[in-house]
Amino acid sequence: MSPEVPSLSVLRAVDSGGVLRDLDEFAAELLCVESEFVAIVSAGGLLRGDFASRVGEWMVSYDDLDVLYCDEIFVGVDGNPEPVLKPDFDAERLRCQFYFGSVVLYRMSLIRRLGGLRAEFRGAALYDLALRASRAARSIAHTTDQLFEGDAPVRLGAVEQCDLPLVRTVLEQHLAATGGGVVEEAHTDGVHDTHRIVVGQPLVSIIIPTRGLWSFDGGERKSLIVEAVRSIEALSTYRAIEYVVVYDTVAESEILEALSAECGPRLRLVEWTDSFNFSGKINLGAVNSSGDYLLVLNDDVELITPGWIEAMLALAQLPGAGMSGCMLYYEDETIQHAGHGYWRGDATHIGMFEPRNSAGPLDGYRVERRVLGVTAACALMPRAVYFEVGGMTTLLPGNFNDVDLCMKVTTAGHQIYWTPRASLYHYESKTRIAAVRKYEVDVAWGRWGSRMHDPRFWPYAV
Amino acid sequence: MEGERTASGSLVSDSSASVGARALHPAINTAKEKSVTENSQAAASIEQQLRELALVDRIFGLEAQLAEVSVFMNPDRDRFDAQERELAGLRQQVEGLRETRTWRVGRAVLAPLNALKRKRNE
Repeated sequence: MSPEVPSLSVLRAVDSGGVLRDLDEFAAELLCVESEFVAIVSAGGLLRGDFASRVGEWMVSYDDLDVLYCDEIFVGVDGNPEPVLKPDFDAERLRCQFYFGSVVLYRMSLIRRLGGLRAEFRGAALYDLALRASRAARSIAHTTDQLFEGDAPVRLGAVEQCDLPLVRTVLEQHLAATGGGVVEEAHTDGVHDTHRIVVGQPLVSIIIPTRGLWSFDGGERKSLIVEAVRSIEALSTYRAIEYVVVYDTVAESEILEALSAECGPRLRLVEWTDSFNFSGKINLGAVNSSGDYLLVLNDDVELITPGWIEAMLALAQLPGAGMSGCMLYYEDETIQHAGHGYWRGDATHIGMFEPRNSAGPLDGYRVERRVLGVTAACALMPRAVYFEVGGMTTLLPGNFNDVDLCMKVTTAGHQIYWTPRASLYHYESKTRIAAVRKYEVDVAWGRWGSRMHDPRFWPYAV
Repeated sequence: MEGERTASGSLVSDSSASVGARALHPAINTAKEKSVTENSQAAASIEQQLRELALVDRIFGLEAQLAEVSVFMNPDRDRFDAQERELAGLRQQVEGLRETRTWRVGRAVLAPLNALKRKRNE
């Protein structure tokens, strides 16, 4: 005998033209729903014909399902259907963007427990409901079934100008209830500038491997690492740092002296005498460091955002967090890295080669969010997590060592976050030609090949 | 530049841990000897930590490889068993490493130094 499908009601928060209804009336109607689940529709459009059956499968299959949202579709200007693909549930992204979309399914017992919709928050009331539900729900699921067909292109979570103060209040309440944070600014386009705050002032060890040699740019002699450290010293606002520079034996003493002059007692120099092994150098730096947090950094970077450490550290301090990363730009103002993407058997960078001010799919380059990996060109992680997973594998001296590290971190049950609030230039091509060797592929894919396609938090081709 | 060469050949330099010529005053000599001992222990501890990182990494790697083998292949029983045995051996090595006197002494020496360093940076 097949299990009984829980009852479901559909309630529209908007009229047929997609305009928000009287919310006092809607809130009262919501509390009168007698079915076990309610689907709240908040945009003009239609539920697909198989909505009830597909949602029914979820309701039957997962006893603890409290909230469910789905992918959508709308007809584009050329008449072709355009999918709206969403990431899986991500509490940190939700505080930046109400990305659940046009139809959200709630368990009615949860709605009642929350006291229903707070109509006084008008255009922010549905966002408020989702945020409060996210704090109380046992399980929030996302189905990649496209169960809603919108009348118009979707601008997820867009709000009217007059409702921005209410959005701010809702977000401030949410942040206060979830460990603290700051709402810098709410925006009508639905992407809100919010962030977590650093707890305490833990020591961060910035570990930089370097050859320590001069480079020549248009005939001008300069040291990448000295330039990188100077940019940090000049701009960075977080002061509880130490530098652990792992340099090669061939390093120029003049460069090491310049680093000493720049950093003073906060510098620790460690010599690397073996052949090139990025992972080995980082490990050597880690065991020679003192910080509670390790910030792995390439030597060919230049800081852009003064609050880069605060942004990454606040995310790395979240419960369960194992790592955080940042936005990297190439010298030509294109994106190099907005998180790792694992797509159809390959590992690459999200956003690569897109112009600097690109928003990305669903504004993904503008929001703090979960990712499955970040580049070791700039990554921050708790010291305890680094040692828990065995640091960076020396089996991968040049390529994919960061992919491997991230895989180990997530395998160990930790989350990885990415933030656009920390950004740097990465002059990667200047220092190394990334020739991939077969054994590197064998090692990385031998370990993680089956996980090299994972669209949960970035469901777009990369 | 003064420093101490670790077993792997890395020269670790730290202004707070210089190993220089002996001073003449006995009290200073004693302090220096203590410093040399502490530095040796610190270097040994660093080697131990690097070894531990490598072992833990190998464990993660083998576990992942085992998962890959079982996901993608009709498992080759002999290969599977061999990797499981290697994994068990590595786990024992990590436990053994953490039981050694050097590791414990190294930790004991480094912990207060690190705490001091953190405090200094606060």
